[in-house]
Amino acid sequence: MRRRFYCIALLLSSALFAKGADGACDRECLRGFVTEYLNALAVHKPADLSVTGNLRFTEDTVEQKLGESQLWRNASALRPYRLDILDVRAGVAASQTIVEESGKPVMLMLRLKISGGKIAEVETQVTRNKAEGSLFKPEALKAANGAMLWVPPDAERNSREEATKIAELYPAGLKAGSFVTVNTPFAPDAYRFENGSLMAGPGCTFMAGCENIQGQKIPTLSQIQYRVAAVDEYLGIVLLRMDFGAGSSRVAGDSLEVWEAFKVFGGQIHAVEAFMKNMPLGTPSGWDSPGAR
Amino acid sequence: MRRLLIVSACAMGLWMSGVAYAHHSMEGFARDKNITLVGTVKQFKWANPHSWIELEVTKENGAVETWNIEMTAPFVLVRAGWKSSSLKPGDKVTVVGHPQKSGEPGALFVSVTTASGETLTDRPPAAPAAK
Repeated sequence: MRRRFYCIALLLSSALFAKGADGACDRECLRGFVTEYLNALAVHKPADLSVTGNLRFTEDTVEQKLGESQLWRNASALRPYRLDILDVRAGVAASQTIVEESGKPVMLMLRLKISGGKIAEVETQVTRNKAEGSLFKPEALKAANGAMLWVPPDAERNSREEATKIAELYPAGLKAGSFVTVNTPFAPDAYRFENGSLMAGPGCTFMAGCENIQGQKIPTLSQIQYRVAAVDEYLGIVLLRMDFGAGSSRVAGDSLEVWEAFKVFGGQIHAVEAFMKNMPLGTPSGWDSPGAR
Repeated sequence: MRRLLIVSACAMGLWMSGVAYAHHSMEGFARDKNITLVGTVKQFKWANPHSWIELEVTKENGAVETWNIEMTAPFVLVRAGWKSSSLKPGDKVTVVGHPQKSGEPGALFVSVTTASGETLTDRPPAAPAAK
């Protein structure tokens, strides 16, 4: 009896340690949930996951039972690329990653909300090909970019609130049709990398003028909506989930749904890395609160 | 026997919790291994989102193999003392990197030492590591 008690106590202490000294789910705890989720996905075993009784799961905005979506049924392997965005204060673990579906690479955007040591929310977006993503180069995503993983020195790290305000000047620029007009604070060498393609910043050859992310020609997206999905205060990354709205997609009647990760420090945006997908115009994400902007 | 089962279950539980939280990196590069390459710079590309070095390495049989060394973005390299002109085609260098797990001639950059003895990494002195 006593031995069993010690065993249980040891296991509990191990779990508590993983969740951080103050009981919150710390960075490694959040990262562990992403790993567990992906490992369960690859072997089609949702039962391996510790979830709350009222878990909500969406794939491409459609609410489904965990384990029954297209990706859950057909995931066949995990690829090496994985950029985790870990928001300890909000208990959110997000990840841009590549997995294989029936042997073919797909771009998976994953957001997990952790509550009481269990997964309470799972929001996913899966981009399977160029028709879905407008851009699609999974082969260019071999490993998370060191620039996104780079840790800003304390003196240059913006607060959570500052970093969020700075990132929000990006959708503000799209709404105005100009990053110059709203003075979105890009660093001179800032770049934007979408679905594996360099679309702005030094070295960009996509179109004339795209070398300058701030000055490049952009559409006016008056209907753009967004919400803050996660803020990684340690790495200086703000993740916005944006619905670009009318005029954003090359596909008639569609809108680009974009998960954009902004590397922010020193009061500037230094890099933008995004996963995006075309969806029918006006499709609700399934997670938008009345306060969504 | 029952005690043994309890102890075994306990140990297995601890091991599994360790696995769950340690197994977070599934990179395409073997980050726990270093490879040292002596060669000649074929191209140094100062680019977003990755800079890279193309390095020509002569194998033991005399054949020349081109290695792609993946680096990080220029804004990080600048802080570590790099310039876009830090390397030029023809430079003789020694590169340390984490090799690709696939065995292909590619690596994730760790450091380069030039013929003059200068060593450059992708981190400024005392920079914190990502966690």
